[in-house]
Amino acid sequence: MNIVDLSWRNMKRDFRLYTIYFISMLVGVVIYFTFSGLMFNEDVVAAIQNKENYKMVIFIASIIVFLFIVFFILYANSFFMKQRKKEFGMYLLYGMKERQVAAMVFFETLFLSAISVSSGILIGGLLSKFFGAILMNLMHYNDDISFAFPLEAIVSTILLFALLIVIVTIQSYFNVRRVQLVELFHAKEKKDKPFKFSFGLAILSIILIAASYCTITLSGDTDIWKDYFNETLIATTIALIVGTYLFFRQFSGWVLQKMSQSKNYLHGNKILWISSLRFSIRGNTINFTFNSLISAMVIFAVGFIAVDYAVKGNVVKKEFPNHFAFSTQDDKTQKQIEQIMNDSHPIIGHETITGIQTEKIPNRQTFFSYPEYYTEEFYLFPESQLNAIVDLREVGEKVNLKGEDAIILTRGLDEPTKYKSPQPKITVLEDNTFRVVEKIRYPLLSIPTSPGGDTSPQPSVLVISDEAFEHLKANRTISSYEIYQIEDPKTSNDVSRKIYDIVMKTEGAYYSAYIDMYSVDTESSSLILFSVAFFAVIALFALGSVIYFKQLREATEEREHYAILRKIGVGDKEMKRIIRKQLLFVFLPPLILGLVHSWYLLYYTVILVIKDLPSLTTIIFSVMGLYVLTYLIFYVSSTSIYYKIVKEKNTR
Amino acid sequence: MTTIIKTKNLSKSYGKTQVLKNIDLTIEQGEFTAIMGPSGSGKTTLMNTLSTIDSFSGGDVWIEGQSLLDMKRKALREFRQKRMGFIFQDYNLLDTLTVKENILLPLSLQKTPVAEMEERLAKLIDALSIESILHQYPSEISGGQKQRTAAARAIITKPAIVFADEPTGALDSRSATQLLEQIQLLNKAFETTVLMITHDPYAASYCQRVVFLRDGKIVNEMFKGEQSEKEFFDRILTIQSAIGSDQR
Repeated sequence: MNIVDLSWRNMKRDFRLYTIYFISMLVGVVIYFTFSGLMFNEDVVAAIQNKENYKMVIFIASIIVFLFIVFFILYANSFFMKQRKKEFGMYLLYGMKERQVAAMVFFETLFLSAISVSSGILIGGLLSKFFGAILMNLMHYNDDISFAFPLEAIVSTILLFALLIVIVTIQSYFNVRRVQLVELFHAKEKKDKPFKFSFGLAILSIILIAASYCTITLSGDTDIWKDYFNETLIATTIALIVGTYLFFRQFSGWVLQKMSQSKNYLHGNKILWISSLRFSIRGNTINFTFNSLISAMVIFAVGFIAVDYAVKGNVVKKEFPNHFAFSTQDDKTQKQIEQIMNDSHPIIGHETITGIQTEKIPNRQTFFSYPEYYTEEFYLFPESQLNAIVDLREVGEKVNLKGEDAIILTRGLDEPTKYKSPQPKITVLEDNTFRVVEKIRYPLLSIPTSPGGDTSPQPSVLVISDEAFEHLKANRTISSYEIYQIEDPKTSNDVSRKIYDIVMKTEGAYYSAYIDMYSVDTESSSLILFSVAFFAVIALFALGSVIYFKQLREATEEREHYAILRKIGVGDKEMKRIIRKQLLFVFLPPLILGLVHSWYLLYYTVILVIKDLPSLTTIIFSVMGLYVLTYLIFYVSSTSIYYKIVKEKNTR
Repeated sequence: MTTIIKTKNLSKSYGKTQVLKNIDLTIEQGEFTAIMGPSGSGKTTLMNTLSTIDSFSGGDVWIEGQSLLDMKRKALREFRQKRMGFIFQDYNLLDTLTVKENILLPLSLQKTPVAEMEERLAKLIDALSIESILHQYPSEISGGQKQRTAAARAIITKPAIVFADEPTGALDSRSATQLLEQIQLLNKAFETTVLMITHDPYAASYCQRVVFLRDGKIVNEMFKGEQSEKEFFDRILTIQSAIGSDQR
């Protein structure tokens, strides 16, 4: 019997163990190939406006995916190796060399990888059509994605997994070398006494978690967040992690200890699952902490990004209300431009506004919280033109100004303010002073854009009364702007490109199009949402398998316990009840803590900040709901596996 | 005296091999019986069928007058839980429970009131001299102490019969003697019926009655009567060598 033969027999014999390992590898390949397949998918690349950005994001994402896979497969392999320790010991005892055992493991890995890489690529290729379609859908493109097996993606998948095989083989070799023959002759390690828990540390865990929650609760305007943002962030994160760790190690241990001291403890099956949990806390703390932090992270990230994606469309609509806005051209060019629009996207509204450009105004910061986002010059417009645009857009409120009253227009970041006396003054065009009564969020002239998505500072706009404007108009250069609303602006990429080229023939011309920002923003936020959702799936998968491996190991260890219980007359139903209770304590606290953590984070970073998104709570609750559902599936399948393992090798 | 176990033509086969052949055996309340025989003689199978852990192929078994053939699985399980106690060679203690918790476990699962549990435990503590280890974990105590814990767990439910499968098999001779003396004491003091399987004549000499088994058949049976352990031991040895001993 040679080594290859031996490997083959092993695989046939210990089918379940190999299946788990195989599935972990397969999922790794599928995820990685799907990702790199998207990067090289011609249909997807053709539809994307900002190709460089796309490749970059997907490339970085696939590196993260790969790191995840490496970590995950090494974890699976180390579990696998531990389970086979005894088997390796037997080989060594019968005179096989460590190298030969390692070679055997290598052949097994090679065989499993060959199958998982080839079938993974097949599945991944099929899935990439589906995921490509999801991505296109998120970006609101209608392009069809065909099945694709790009050569680059295949090659990179094979290369990376070849590298992985090398790493896994090295890991296995060290594992084989670490096998000590003497362990074969010892009975299974006896468990010690349960861990002693300290009340002080249990309380400390609660204090740490409460403290980090309190810090999160303090709004961003408070001094510690404003002045020491990084320090506060790090401290809060550390407190949260340490608090979570102590919560599981000390607090839950302390609770179980208290429970075991209660009068009721000896009554019913409590005695069994509580004692079993008390013994397993030490080995499980890291796992629990990992579970709840990953849960918190996944829920927070997906919730945050999903809300961001949902909000983006609205933000762009608010900040770029003009489908097209540009400096007025001569009559002929103007006709030409209108023709371009009407060819594909008929004009539904048009207005011309005229204003006066001022010199640079030094005291901008009096009015703007973030002056760097605005031009240094101001543009003066009469109230009637603002009102005309309100009519055109059917959004906003008309204004009525008298004498020296003026209104400043701002963008999203600036809070609208009504100034009380003494109202701030602004002096423009040498000696014309106005009293600013209010600043409102209303981009009359939106942020200048170009079809590639580049932007310039927002024109600072001062709206004055019609009379004042008439007075200033005399002897001054007037600049005028054309503002158009068209049908179906979300698909006007080509139109924007053509108009931009025409308008920009004049140096310093103003140009702003809704679509320029919309396509870039939607693409990037779709990509991020897509990648984060992907990471979340991987993280969940990793979490699921960590739990699964752990349960598998524990169930195997506890098998003897349950055999004893069966001998003293505990029935199947009772055993199921005990297992369910025991696992409930393993699953529920990490989930609850994870949910609470992420809720706090989401509440103070998203829910309180974003006010005008009706679907906000729906999004967040569906993310949480999905997560709980996944966790529930983990729980139910774990209990059934646990029960199956425990039931094995038992008579009647 | 009531009959605890009665078998009639009890047979059991695995495929074509017949492991138990027409066994007729009666065990009365308060008896301390040993079943002896070389390995492969069917003594473990006999105990498994009597203790309802395993099924049988022919004949019938009555426990406390009830035929096992008439009982369903669930009833058998409840019967096992409430009316039978077990002592195993490898103790079978749960290592996450203290000695006290291990002993009380069967009562806990039956939801016995806590006060009653404590009361029943108190009666056993002296007889088995386990007072000092009550709050220790199995990993902290010796083999003999473990087996005494297991014995306490077996009889705390006040079973009709205690099955002991090679209880001294893993113990050194001093601990074995101590355990046998204690089982003897419990048998006398509480009138506990004990059926012990052993291949060790020394262990068997503590019983009132020894049943010899070979090739699935009862080949001999002897009673201790008024003899001392030593005399009984010599007689057992004689019979055993006549039947063919088992050194394993």
